[in-house]
Amino acid sequence: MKDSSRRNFLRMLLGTTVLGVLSAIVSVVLPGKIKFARASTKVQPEPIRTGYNPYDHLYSYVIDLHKCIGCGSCVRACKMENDVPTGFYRTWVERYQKGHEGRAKIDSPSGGRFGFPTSTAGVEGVSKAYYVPKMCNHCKNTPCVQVCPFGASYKTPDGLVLVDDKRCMGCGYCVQACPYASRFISPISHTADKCTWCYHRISRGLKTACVQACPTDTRKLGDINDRYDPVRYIIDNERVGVLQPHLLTRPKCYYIGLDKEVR
Amino acid sequence: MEHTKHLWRAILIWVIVTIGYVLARGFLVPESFGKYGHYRGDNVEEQMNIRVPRHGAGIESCAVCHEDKVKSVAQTPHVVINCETCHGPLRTHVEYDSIEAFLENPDDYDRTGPMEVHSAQELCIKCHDAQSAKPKGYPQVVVVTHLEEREMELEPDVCLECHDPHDPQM
Repeated sequence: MKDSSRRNFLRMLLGTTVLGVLSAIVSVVLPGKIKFARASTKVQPEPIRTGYNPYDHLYSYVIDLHKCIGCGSCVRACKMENDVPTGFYRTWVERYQKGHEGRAKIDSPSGGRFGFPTSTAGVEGVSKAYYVPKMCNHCKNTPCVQVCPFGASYKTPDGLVLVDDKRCMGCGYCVQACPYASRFISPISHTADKCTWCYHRISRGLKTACVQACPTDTRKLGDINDRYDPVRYIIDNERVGVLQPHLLTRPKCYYIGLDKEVR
Repeated sequence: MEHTKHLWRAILIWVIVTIGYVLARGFLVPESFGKYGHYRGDNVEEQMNIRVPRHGAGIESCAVCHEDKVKSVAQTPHVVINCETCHGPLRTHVEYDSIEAFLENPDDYDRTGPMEVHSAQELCIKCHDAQSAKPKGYPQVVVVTHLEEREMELEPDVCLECHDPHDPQM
């Protein structure tokens, strides 16, 4: 610049500062304000469930392993309630058989859907045996939500981990990230599928299909925002464990009578 | 100020980039994004309405029509079992979205579907077959010897010959 004087320099400095501040405001504040109306061809059906506020609830699940008889009623009920594709399971039951020596023998034929065959293999030396129903733990620190590149996996205010099948691209990253193997890619929709704690039921005040089908009261779902909820009482008063606590995922499925063999 | 055109060029580029960014963001970000968190908030409602519940509201749903049955089962140890655990989901039985909708159409009361009941052999044995993994004290039998003692064969409804599922105590 020819007439480079202090006055001109300061003028330029002021100008660029004002421009910078303006640009910052425009690029940060405006995008949130501007919403473009998109042509919605599909008319949304009238919501069946209204008046349910997700902020009012916080769900937790308790599984009492002392009571489970491995009948597979929960697996069958879940399949029928949620149209789970054949060969995939949102909840399943595992049988552990362990003696003094060696590793635990674990089996889960058809996810325990048809019960368990009377085991003859390796029965000798088995000193303890039990069933472990498993499902999505709806973790507080979810590895699956963290890795989703499309923002399709998310946590609801009432503590559930759900999948938005309109955003999910089916990359399967979350399936690998879940340490509990509770997700799968549905062969029908080609998106990630998982246990939703029957959100379409609990938001209507019903029990989940698995809890309702359980004949021995092994499974319980409760709202721990409710002071007088039996599940909250169990979590507060009994010795409960979670699966793989060393991963710090903070699951919301609590197990009574959990054994060290269970992963 | 002969070099001001450089400045204006930079400003023009910045304006184009900003407008492009705002436009693209407006189109790409879902409307309900941020309603509950960093995701499309509408999906929470979509999940609530993803389907009509197939199972009813438990034993109360069945008691609307089958009150006598529910009352008789209530006196037995099998009261802890929900009807739909053995009989299958309610909706396949009444073929209506809800029990209320069913009751509003009295003409269709006889139009009920079959109740899906597994064969007694499968159903009873799933729970009562003796297995080491079952809790101690849970009523269970070794099916093979139990039938041999009574000189019976393993048939689909063999359990029902002596036992009534609605009143299991003998």
